[in-house]
Amino acid sequence: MNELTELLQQTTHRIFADLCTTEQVKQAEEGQWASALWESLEENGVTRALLPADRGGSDLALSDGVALLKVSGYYASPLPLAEHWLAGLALADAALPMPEGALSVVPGATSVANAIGTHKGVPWGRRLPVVALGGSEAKPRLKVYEHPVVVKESVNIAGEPRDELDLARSECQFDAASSMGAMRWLSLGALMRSAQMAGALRRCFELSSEYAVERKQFGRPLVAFQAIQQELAILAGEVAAVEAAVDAAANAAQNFSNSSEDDGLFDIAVAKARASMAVESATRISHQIHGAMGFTYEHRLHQYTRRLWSWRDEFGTEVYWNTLIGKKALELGGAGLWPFMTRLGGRAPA
Amino acid sequence: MSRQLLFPQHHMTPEAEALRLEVRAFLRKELDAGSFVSCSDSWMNASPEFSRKLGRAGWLGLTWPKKYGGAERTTLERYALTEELLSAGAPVGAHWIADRQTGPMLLRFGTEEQRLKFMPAVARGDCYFAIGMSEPDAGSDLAAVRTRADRVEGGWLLNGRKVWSSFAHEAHCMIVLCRTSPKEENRHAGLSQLLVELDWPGIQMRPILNLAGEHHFNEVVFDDVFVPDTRVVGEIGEGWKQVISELAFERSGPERFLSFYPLLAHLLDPLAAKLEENGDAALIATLGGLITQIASLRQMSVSVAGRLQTGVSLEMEAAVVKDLGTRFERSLPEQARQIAAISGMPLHEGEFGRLLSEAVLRAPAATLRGGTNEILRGAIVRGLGLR
Repeated sequence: MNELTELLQQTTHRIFADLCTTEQVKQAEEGQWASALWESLEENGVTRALLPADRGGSDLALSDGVALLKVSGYYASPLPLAEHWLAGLALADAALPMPEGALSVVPGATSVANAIGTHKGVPWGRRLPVVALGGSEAKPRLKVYEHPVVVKESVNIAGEPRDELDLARSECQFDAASSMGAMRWLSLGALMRSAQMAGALRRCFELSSEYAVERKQFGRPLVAFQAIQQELAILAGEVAAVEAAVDAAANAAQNFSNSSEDDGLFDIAVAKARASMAVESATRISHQIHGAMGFTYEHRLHQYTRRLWSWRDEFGTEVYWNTLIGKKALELGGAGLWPFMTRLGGRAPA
Repeated sequence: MSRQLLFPQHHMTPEAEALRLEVRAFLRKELDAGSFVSCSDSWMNASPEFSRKLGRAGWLGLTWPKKYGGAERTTLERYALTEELLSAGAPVGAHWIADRQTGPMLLRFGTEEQRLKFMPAVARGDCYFAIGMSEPDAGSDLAAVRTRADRVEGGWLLNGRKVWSSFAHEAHCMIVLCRTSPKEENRHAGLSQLLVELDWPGIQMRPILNLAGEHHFNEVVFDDVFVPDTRVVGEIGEGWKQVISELAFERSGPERFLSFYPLLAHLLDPLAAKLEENGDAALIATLGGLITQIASLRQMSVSVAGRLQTGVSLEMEAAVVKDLGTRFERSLPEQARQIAAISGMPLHEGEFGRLLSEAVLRAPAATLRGGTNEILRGAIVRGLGLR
């Protein structure tokens, strides 16, 4: 990490700590756009961090960007920073201009053809211009809709806007050939979401261990009970596993840009699958340790656990990514799987 | 704030990858020649003949100084070698303990005479060690050992009994943890480690068969065994500290998540054939989930191996890998069985059937050996500064 990225990381931490409070997250869940937070991220260059310098960005490596997204997840950020970055990267790749302000994406699914017609689950579709990947598998096209037609406003179980749009009835401002294909689009989104999940998981562990140290029952702190220690250790392991998987995927994905080499893709598949797989036990343990207190609206634990329950389904569930991996394994067969596994994680940067 | 667990990504080196290919080719040749059959949990299979082949190839004691028979290669090269051996299900049990922990331990605490006498023999594949830690009344509570050594002219007189010593019946030596002064308030004080040769007078051994009727455990009884001063390992009274550092060598390697990998490899081809008949999406996702977990564990384990080379202490990280990895190992045979059964594969036929039965019978040990996961998790929470 160089000085710039270190500075950016510190700044991002500070901004979120100051402005992404429990109260702010509540307000966002009531439908309010966290404008002060967004503006501060914009002023400090966070929103453009991944963009090339000629687009006013810091040309941050994907792995450093992922570190910032972990911070945003650690503070349960209600803003679509990942979506904004994904849109920005795709627009830069396609040499399309970048509309002012925050952007969102049609997360798209497995098929490029989905970019036509109505789309559910678009983050902040009611408020932001959206970028979608259309065209065909062979000739993907990037499309920008500055004022998409909203069919229905909706939210995920974390209270984050996930709206249904009708792109066929929306006016498309820009439409250009995309160098980014459907899989790259989906997997970059998955990588970014996994990073947010890693941050939220870390916070769940910290909240749970702090609570276990402070809370006393039977005259002793909870952490003095072996039953609680066992659960905390399992939680710590899940968090560490997700963090490691996300870091490895970010490094591998850095070198995976439109090449046919799909190793980076499988690193991301592992990361998103592992992150989504961790959610069940990590949220269960966190809530169990917090007892009834953590089940109240007042306690902030749910700001993390509800996000995890939502995010594990976005940009591909663990079932989606594990299926991709499972199919690859069957194709490789018993003799081919192990050599494939030892190639995961990519090579050391030169 | 508590200490944070860190697993920064480590990449294999080009040297490690080159060695990997060499080992892979060697294993292919040995398998084709029928010199071994792939086993579940293959570090519980001992073949002195196979161990000698590895020794002759220069692949034992890989990281040790040349002076002691080693090849002065890196921990990551050893890591690549080890994961190739385990993923192929090769019988590595004979030399396993000597190569993994005795050598490093002698390097750290042994005398020059001990190193020169034992390490080159281990590296050639001619000398094997067994572990002498657990006793009938000292399992998880290792400091409760009662085997004791009393001071006599020129050495120590050893009395007591050790259990669970894997492959002691194939081994030449054992490092025995024993009490050299009476128990005090500090129960970790007064313990020492003595290196005994298993053919010395006064040593008796009997097999303890495991639940499958296999013989790898042993009970070893010491009855007035004279151990000369030259066979004290490290310092008298420092045994506890030494044994803890020895346990750290065996914590986070690939044997904590790859032990049952051969079963997975042998599931793939018959499964693919079955799925052609009646494809089942849920099965493919479950299969992928197993691979995801191995990939994730491998990242963490390689991270620890890579950083160990720099000499930092990673006890907590290693403990986390062992807990996560061995719980996965415990579940792999069960999940492989489910996948196979749902797909309509026969469970008791062919290579898969053999490996499955073997894995089911051996899996209970995964979360016990080298310290139970419950004890490990208690240590993780303490290490994180939470209690």
